[in-house]
Amino acid sequence: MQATPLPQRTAPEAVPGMAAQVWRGNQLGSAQGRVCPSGFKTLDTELPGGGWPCCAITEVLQPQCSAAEWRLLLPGLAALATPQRPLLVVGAPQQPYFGGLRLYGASEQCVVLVCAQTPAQQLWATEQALKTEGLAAVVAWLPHARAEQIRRLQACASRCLAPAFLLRPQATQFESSAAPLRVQIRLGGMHTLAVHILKRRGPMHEGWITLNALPPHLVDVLSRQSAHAEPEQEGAGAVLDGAVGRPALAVASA
Amino acid sequence: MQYWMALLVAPRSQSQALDARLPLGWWALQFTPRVALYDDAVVLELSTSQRLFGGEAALRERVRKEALDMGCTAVAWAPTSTGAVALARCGETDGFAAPLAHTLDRLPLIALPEVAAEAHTLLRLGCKTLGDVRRLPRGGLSRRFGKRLLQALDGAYGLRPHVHEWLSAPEVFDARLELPGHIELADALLFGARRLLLQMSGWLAARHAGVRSFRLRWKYDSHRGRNAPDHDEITIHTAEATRQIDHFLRLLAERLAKTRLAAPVDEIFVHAQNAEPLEEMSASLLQEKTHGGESVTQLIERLSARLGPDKVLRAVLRPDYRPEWVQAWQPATQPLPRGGTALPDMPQPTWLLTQPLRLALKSERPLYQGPLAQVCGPHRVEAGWWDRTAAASADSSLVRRDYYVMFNEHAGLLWVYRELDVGEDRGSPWYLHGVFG
Repeated sequence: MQATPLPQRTAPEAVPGMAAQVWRGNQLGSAQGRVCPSGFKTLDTELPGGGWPCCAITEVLQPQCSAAEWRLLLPGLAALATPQRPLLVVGAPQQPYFGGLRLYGASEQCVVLVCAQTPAQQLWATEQALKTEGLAAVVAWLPHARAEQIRRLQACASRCLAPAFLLRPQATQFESSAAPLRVQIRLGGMHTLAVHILKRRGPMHEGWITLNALPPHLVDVLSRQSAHAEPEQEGAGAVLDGAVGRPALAVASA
Repeated sequence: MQYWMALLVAPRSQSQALDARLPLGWWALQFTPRVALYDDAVVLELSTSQRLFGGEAALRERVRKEALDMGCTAVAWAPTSTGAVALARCGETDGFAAPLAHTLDRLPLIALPEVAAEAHTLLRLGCKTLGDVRRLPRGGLSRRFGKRLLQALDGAYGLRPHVHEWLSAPEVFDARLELPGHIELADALLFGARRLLLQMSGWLAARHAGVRSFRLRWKYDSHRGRNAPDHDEITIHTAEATRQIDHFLRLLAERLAKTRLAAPVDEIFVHAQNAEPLEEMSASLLQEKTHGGESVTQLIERLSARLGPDKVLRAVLRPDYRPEWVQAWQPATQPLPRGGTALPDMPQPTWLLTQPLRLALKSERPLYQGPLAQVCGPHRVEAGWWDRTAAASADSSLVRRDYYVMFNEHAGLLWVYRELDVGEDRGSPWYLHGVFG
């Protein structure tokens, strides 16, 4: 048996466990409560705690709704959903199609769709969902929600065990928000999504993370015609051309 | 030692069709099988349940609090059943604080009905309390007032046993409540209904059962308008048999919020039958992490109650090649069909447009937020030929299309098809049908 070396102490600890409580400016914050992996390794390393937070709201902003959200969320969420623990979808902008969703592993039994029409109903349904135990995740499109309504949802989510995502238009990035994690996405190339973290516990995130987020079936099809496809960008923290040196977006901390 | 609790109920008036003691008795059956109706009270013997329900004090407090909630007027506990009733009648509660004889001796004559019947004579003998009566010679008492008085006294003091006929829970639950005032708003019925539902959950607990539906009926005031009906009712259904009163109340609140009363209401009834055995959840030794939230089934029922059942949906898939025929939606409260469905092996989008969107053309290439570049395809879908009758009409189920996956940097990956049968139409044959979102 090898003798384990004594842990090196950099500074004497005045109070036991103090080091865990103190956050230093250059570290990534730790998530409060559980996280669930996002399915993208490069994204997980940038998220506090290493995944989507389970006791908090995550805002996902994108320029155009229904363009890329499933490609970002489903690789992580599909594994969590079961018929007994469904994924609740509130106020979807289009009709979700299970021909494609089940390729990610989200079968039709695992998803419940709430077609709330008015913004008030959507908010109510989302709030009820956040108060419920036993959902895999809550995904809600709330384009018209105001800052105080999101604060209320965040208060409900702090007792929720499932990750909750609010999908919102990009124009709201300059509004303040109570959500501890705000993520902005845009389409990269054909194969990729570009993700920028607007707000997180930890240092400001600069640049864009490129994720290989091709729908599952297309991966097979395209690999067959790979001769014609453009060379894949390995997305280990690669920064897209044109995004280098770009001024960091204002972090709208609430 | 026996442990009796007496729950005193306000004496019933002649007009009441249902005995108010009965629902209270059924509710009490969840704590012990030894429940009886005695005089104007419900008595329950708890010595065998004392170690359950969190211990003696917790059990006693729970019975007391819930009984008062349900309209019981006084509660007392003592080592004998009639003694407990006597204490309750005089506003005393605890028969265990001192020896029972001491406590009972101080009570006035009205505490025991058999003694109260002879109160006139006893008062003239100088007896004001039960203790005074007990000090009189037994032989003389027996000769003067008959044996019933002595039996009642001995029963209360625990000197002779009292035989009770135990209550059992019936097959059908029926309870009524006369409202203290006239109620004109449907929401306000909830308060009265809560009391009845509390009794119902007791009835269910005694039977170790749950229900899938119950009926709330209300009777309109006799001075109602000419065209108002005599009564109205709503039936609440749940997906799973349950006896959780909070869930019933939430569903009822949603329904009542949408109900309009035709006239003021003065009486409500709750009716339930077909109780189903419920699997009991055993309490965990380890403290489990629960947040007191509701379950998924309850959430779906609540959302359906507020938004309408056609707004909370689950998808059902059918094996078909035509995307618009693959997927149908059904209320999430309905059970799902079993078995998986095989779908065609071709790229499938995650969003489907309900109505395909016709795309403009620019130099023979379709446009959607800019020109589209082809990623893969075509995948031919040719189906629905058996539906000949509708073939001529616009919403034909005959489909002959070539599907392509296309891309542009603004709209992302799109699912676009080209109609093969263009016919007379000179417009573009390209349609947007889905998005790989």
